[in-house]
Amino acid sequence: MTTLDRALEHTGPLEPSMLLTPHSLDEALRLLAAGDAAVVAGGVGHTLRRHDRRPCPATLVSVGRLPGFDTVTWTDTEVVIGAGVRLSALEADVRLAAAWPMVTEAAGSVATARIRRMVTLGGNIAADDDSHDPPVALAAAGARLTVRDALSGRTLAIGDIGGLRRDELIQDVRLPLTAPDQGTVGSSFQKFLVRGLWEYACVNVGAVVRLDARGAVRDLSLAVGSVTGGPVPVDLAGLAEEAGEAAGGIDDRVIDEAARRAAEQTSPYGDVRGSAAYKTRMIAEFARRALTTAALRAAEGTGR
Amino acid sequence: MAVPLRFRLNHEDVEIHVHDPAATLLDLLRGDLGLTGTKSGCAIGYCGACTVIVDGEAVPACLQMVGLLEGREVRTVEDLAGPGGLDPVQDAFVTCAGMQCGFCTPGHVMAVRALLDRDPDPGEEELRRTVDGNYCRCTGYVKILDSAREAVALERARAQEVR
Repeated sequence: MTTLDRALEHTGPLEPSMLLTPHSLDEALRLLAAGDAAVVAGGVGHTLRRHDRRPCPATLVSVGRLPGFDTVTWTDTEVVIGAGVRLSALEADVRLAAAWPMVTEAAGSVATARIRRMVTLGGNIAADDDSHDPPVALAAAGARLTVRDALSGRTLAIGDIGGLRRDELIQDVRLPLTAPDQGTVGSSFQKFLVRGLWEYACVNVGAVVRLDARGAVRDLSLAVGSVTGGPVPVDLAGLAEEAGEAAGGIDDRVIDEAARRAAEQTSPYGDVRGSAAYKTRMIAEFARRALTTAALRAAEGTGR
Repeated sequence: MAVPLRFRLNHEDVEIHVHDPAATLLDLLRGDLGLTGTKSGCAIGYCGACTVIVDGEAVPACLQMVGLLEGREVRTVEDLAGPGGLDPVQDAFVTCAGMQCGFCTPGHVMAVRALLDRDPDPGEEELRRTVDGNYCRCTGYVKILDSAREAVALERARAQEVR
């Protein structure tokens, strides 16, 4: 393999890994219980780590083809997405696109179509990378993760993924659903790419607007990625109440204030995609766009 | 310690012993099996030069961990030409001169092959989306798109001949 990175020229050959292939979730959790193995699903993240000569665990437990791990199930109150669902399947899920367009937009914006066929939702989240797209949308949606170890289970917020232990596995991702008589929900994911395609975001933002049955704003939510500690939920305290007083949905002043807070409360880092100062301005702009689109969708009654 | 790996490669059952299940399919094909038709470009999944077909889907071989291939089906560009001549997709690239240096060509051919296996009559948008998944730094894509359109026509003609 040819590399132009001089830092990699002096590293030795890669140590081989051991790959274990369990046939059930319980068997996978038993293999992980020792705490010295890592989960591998689509394998993309691990392959890129090896490509970059970053430390890799000696033992991998393959979970990408576990039975029942790649299903999407619906109840009246939530949609449960198996952690093994590929991003390409998520992107193409018509029912999910109607309920949470922000989530299918985020899944469909990752890398290339060919890579999305390999990457699982659970793997994308567990990578704990602040620039990954789906976690930004899921954080804005208030999704919860079901995680399990060999003995028990618990739930985590997306922002708590750093607390996932080596002996734990993400089993599924749960998105709340709103009953039709409780109003409408609109959501939108916005990703700013400096080159226009196929790269990590300069800025990525997810937004949710909930309207009550009268069309007044009941709740607003924003999450920002590609920033330190991301995805960062933006504190919009008081804004929904302020917006709710105005008839006819959300007005520009509320959107501007939400965008200002998004920029104020996040700490982007300068890199090849832009300086920190530039990204701060882009965060405000793309927060504005995401909220505007989410509000339109909520008003139209689509994108619950 | 080498571990056994069983999968189908170009319509043949193979069992090989791999030293490192976390190695890439690209390295296995080129380095161990001598199937050098699959090209190594960016090695991070973006350029499409190493595109192969796994279980009917075009994937970058540089991101495909070999240990995850157990029981699966892999096709490489070496599988396309047969006793009857070139595959229609290969024929189309020759007919339309859809290449200059040729480095990206196997990846383009496999990507279009995977598309036609899934959808024998894709629309223009689908063709563009497929071609978009492979970098070509020579042609500007005009003749590659011509080749993809020609491949659809040749595939259709061949299917009618079979009927």
